[in-house]
Amino acid sequence: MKALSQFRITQFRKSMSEQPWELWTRQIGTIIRMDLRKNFFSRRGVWIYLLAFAPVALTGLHAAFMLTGHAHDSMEADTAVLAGIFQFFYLRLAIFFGCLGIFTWLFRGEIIERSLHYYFLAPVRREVLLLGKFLGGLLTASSLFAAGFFLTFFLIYWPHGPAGQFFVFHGPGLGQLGAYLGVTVLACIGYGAVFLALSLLLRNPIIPAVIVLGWETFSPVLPSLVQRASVTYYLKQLCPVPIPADGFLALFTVVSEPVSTVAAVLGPIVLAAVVLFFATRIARKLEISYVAE
Amino acid sequence: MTTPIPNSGDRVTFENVSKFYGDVLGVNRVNLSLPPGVTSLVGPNGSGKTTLMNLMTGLIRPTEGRIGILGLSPDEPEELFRRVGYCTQFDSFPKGVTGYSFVFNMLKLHGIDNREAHRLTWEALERVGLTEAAERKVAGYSKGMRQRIRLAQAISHHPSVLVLDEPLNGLDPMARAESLELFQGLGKQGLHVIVSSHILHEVDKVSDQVVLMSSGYVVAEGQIHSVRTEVKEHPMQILVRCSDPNLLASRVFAQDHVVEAKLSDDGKGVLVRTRDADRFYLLLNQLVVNDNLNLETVAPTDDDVNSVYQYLIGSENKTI
Amino acid sequence: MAVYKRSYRAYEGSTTPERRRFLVLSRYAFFGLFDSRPFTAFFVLCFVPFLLAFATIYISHSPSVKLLLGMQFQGPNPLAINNYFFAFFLGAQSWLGFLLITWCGPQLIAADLANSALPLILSRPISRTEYVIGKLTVVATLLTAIMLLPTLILFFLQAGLEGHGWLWSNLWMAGSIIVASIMWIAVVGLIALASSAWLKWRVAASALMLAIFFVGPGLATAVNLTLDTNWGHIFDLGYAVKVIWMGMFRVPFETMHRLRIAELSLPAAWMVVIGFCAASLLLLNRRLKAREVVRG
Repeated sequence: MKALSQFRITQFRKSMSEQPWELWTRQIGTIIRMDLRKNFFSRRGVWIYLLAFAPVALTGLHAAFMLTGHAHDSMEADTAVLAGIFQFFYLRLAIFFGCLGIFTWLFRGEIIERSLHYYFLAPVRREVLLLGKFLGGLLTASSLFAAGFFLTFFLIYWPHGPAGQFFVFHGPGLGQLGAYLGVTVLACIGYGAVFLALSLLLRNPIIPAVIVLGWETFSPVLPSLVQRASVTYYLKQLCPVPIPADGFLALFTVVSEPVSTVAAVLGPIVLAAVVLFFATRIARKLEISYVAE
Repeated sequence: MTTPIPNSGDRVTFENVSKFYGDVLGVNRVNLSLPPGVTSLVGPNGSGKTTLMNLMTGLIRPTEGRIGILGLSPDEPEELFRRVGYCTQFDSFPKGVTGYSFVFNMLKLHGIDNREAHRLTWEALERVGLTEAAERKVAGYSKGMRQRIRLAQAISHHPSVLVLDEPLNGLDPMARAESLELFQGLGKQGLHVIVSSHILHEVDKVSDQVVLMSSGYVVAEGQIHSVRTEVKEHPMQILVRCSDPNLLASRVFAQDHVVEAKLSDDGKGVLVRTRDADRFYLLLNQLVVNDNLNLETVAPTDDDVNSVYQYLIGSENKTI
Repeated sequence: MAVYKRSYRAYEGSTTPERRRFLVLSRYAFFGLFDSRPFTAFFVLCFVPFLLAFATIYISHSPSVKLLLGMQFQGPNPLAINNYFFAFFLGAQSWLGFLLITWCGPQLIAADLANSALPLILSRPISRTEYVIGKLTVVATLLTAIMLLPTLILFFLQAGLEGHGWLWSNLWMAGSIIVASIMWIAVVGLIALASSAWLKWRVAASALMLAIFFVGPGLATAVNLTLDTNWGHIFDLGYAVKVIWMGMFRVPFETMHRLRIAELSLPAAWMVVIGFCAASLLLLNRRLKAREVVRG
């Protein structure tokens, strides 16, 4: 029995080493480059810039008010403000809708513009194509939202002068920034995989997207075990500054047992891996049919 | 589907292939084995030509049956598309590309390095005569230029099988002639060039074999001459110019396979319509040997794709 | 050409009267929408709250049913049918209507633009205004069926069961129901059509509609938190509509304050709503042209 499993492991290793990894890497690189150009430099993507950088404009104004003495200069209050901006705006809405736009467009966009067949006629495995497109979308989404949040962070602490610098470089500031940026990337991974799969499965992924939005919004009021199937469940726990539930949802919120940081990080990644695995199966069966959307 | 089709290493084969779009028939029970050379798919709109080409390249899956391209299944894109180039009918391109970047990016997807991709891109652009417009955006190209840039993309990686869906659409007469010459040249080099077209007399000139399609069915296939001969129920027209047309006319009238014999206007030839060309040629040989008939010319007058096509499906589809 | 050879005759038959011509577009749009079974199913589902509300009004006026169900209340009656009840019911129906329009609204214009059908339609004797009215009629009819009519039916049912001059003393509420519904129809309809015309892809247009109503509150919170103000609510269209409706249904200020919907003044809320409608109209005016601009 042991010999058999050893044999299988050896076979698996052999078959893995025989795969054309270098070719796949090059192909993925090309797909990413093509997609990044489309995502960053198209007129269609302007709204994502607006979503990602809207808080920068706000914190810019806040900084201007502070420097002119028209706003409070409490660092504690500003840390709470930053946490609020991240959780209420970025995590719940901007990243969600940004990923909805970016990741559903990866394949649906090619179908709308009737150019998907060029990819299907290239010597690229559908799995490689899907992974390349996903990584292209992930790089776009995470770099835009991370850049937006980074600037917001900078504009929150910069007007505090030396105290702000001390908080960032010698206090918890830099760690908090790292945590927020990490959560941003994880959110993009989780939502991105879900929306990419939905866009392959359905011609109009907006209805399931509404269900996902509802699920993510109302999952805190569901039993603890059920909450684990939502992306925000893991990400909220990784946010360095907790924000209490607000509004009428606060009345019904079920406080669930916290999971370890490793589990919270792995949660969205595992979720994305499972979803992407199913997405590759759909992609393999995908046929070219450019009917009107 | 993934099992290679036996003994099909140098052929494009369809084994009992059917494709249904819901209740709508795409193609039905297609059995084909295409050798290298130029093959023309001929048929009216909706006859299943594009469906057949899309099936061949894996853009759509057959409802039933097996397809083999040089022994490869369309489910093996990595191997298949190194050897296949497909110029589709979709007149659309990725947003914002120039002629050069379009061909270059698609070559990069093959895993080819920059320098080689650059060289192959210019080579393909040169072949279709688009070097001057290479840096312009494809969206600003004329219809003919867009057709040619798609052709350049399809041939850029030197495929062994070139599938071209209506490649002459939108081309001016000069470009048509050049493209046909290109197809013929590629066919002579041993490539499979599979062309679909409505311009029958043009593909007729360059085709080594034809596949005639109607309403999702293959109604005839093979070399144009063989196809014509196989169509026994439709009389074949042969013009014979000889020393004694009256003698020839009187002899052929006695044959049961001859439908009509008509003296030509100048009285020096006989136009014979026969259901069995082989028996007619045998009779002609006997006349030459036994009656000292001197033959000047013997020419089938309707032995081109157009005539065959008209015989087989023309009466139902007069739009062609 | 000889006169007797001229066989061509221009069409001289009857045509749809000019005033009703926009309805041709609406009719075709309706056929398209109700061809979809899921859409029809969701449309039917939108009437479930109406049935529940109907039952509630009936039960609240039937002592025997209340007795049967063992519903004896001490203190204020939770089944009281008053302005809160109608405001809540209209609010619930408005969100169901919003989801329905998010589904069907964006395809009304996007499909025409994506398939280059707009120049074709506008080359007929139909103006751009009639085109917009024709499409807006679809939204208006659906929302009227889901919001306005059921709420009015409930209102008159309550009036009938209550008697004793309830109708006359609460007639203002019928006006509120009508005005609130018309306002919602205008807001949702114009936003749906504008996003449809702007993005040309119904999925993106639906996402934009959702974003306007869901990202708005997030942005408002961010503005309020960062700048320590309440003016962030001007980005929250849903909030502004709520403020106006609460005013229309005469919900006391203290209650509004408790519900945190008194942080924007009524005129400011009206300005927000008018601003969104005006922006939508401007966008429609820019996008709906009888020509196509193709960009590479």
